[in-house]
Amino acid sequence: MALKQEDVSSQQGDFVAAPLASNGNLLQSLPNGFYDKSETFDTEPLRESQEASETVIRSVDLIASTSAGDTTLPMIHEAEFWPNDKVRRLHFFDEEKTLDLDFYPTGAGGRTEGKTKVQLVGKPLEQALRTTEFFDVLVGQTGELSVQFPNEPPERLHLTELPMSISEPEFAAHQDRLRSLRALQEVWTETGVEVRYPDNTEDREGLDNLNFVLKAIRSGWVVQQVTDFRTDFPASGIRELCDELQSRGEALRAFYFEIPRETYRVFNKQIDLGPSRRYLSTARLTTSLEEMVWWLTERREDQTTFSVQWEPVEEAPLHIFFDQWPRTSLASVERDLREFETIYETTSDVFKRGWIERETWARDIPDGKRWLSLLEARKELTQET
Amino acid sequence: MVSGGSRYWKLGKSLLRKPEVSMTSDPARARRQELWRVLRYGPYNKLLRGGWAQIKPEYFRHFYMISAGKGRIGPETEPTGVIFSDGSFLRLFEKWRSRDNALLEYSYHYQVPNGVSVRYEMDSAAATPDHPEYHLHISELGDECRLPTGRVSGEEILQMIFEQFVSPTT
Repeated sequence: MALKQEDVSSQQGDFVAAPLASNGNLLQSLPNGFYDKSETFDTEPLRESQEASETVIRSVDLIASTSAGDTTLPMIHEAEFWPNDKVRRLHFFDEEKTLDLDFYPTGAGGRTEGKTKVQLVGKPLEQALRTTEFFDVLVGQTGELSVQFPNEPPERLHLTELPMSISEPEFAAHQDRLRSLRALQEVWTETGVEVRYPDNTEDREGLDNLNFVLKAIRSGWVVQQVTDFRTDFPASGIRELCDELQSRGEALRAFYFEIPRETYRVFNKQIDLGPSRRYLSTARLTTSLEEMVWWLTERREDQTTFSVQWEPVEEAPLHIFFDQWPRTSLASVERDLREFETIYETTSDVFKRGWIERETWARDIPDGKRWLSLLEARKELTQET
Repeated sequence: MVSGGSRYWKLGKSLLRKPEVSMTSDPARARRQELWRVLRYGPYNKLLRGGWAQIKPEYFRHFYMISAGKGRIGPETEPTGVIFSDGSFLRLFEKWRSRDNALLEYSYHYQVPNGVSVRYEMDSAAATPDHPEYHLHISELGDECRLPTGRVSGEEILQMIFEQFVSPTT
């Protein structure tokens, strides 16, 4: 027999949710937003007390050249020279001080050694991500790092071989930082709210909420386990529940909720996800019969509804659907087109030509109609842009 | 400035473009609601894996689409789209004209794992005497065979699957 379904207006706060455990919990943890590799300089060649040197400051580009191509990061460059014009220190940093690189000549075979500092906490997200993606090339790919001076013609000098050394745990932490920054960037792009890398990396609720928001903006659908929730019933509904408890020993319902607005705290910012609909297939009433009978007999006249508590049966999940997500944009269409090109191992142009010419291989593609429509959408969106 | 290596650099500022504002009233979401109405209530919701199905609405100025599932499809493929409790699944696509809510195309592909598939299609643009505008493909007859049908709706297809394929009484 189908359960009676209650369609109710509700609020986000009526639900006690468990953390998203298995539903695409994309970020497991957040490493601290700071990396400092200075400790290797036990025999730093320079001391503050040493003879003063000349310093030159310029804007330059750092260029990481790998088999994938060149990756460039604009930096401020501070070069210190000994009085005999020999290099004492080559220092690079960006305006936001997210990345700080120091190179010292060791004198042994013309080699250099370096210090690296990455500071992401509270920094502008765009720069934090740019720096971290650049750092990813420095520690993850084979090639060389050079500095290019904006002379005419541009002058490019070799600094060091890549990859730069980094310990296994630090490399793993770096990759987690990169993943987190990309997630924050996605949230910014989609919602317009910039959440910077947090100071408190133990903020579990902030991280859970970030995962929740990511699921919501990507698919518009989040499956969540709730431990319990409350709903308001009028006296007639309470009487019905009392009757059910007395006759059957339990009261079960399916629920469909409409929530006018959901907001989530992602670290130090609030993200507004707009209205949602929530659905739960089976829940059991946990408010006692005595409590409801007491309310029916003792309530004041102005008490028109009574709040009762429910819990899901057999861990039935709560399905949450966000009306405004996912949003369609040129970027999302491009993403879907790239996905089709990967799945079907051909370009959109080749596919379109094959479809128009009624070639069987193109017409047999299960996503053909949608692929072609997305190409049409891209044209429309590009014209609007 | 950069010739490769970083997705961020390649996409540049486009990554930071702020999204369009609210689209709560768009007809793609309204159409999704209509299909969800079939799935939302018992006993059908019990016949869905996970109790629900994801249907994606996409609204553009001249047309809108809804779809469920994507990727290669066949007896051996992982279920995507509307996934039923027995592991069978429906891949769904509808394209509508925004101006007058006219249905332009549809494709409903129902696949039984390691078994047969049926696909209802509306192909107005490709219609010829050999290619009926509304037709049905059945895997056992081959993809070139198009059996003429009347126009069907997504709701009817869902109900047919629930009642004739995955109903607990069958």
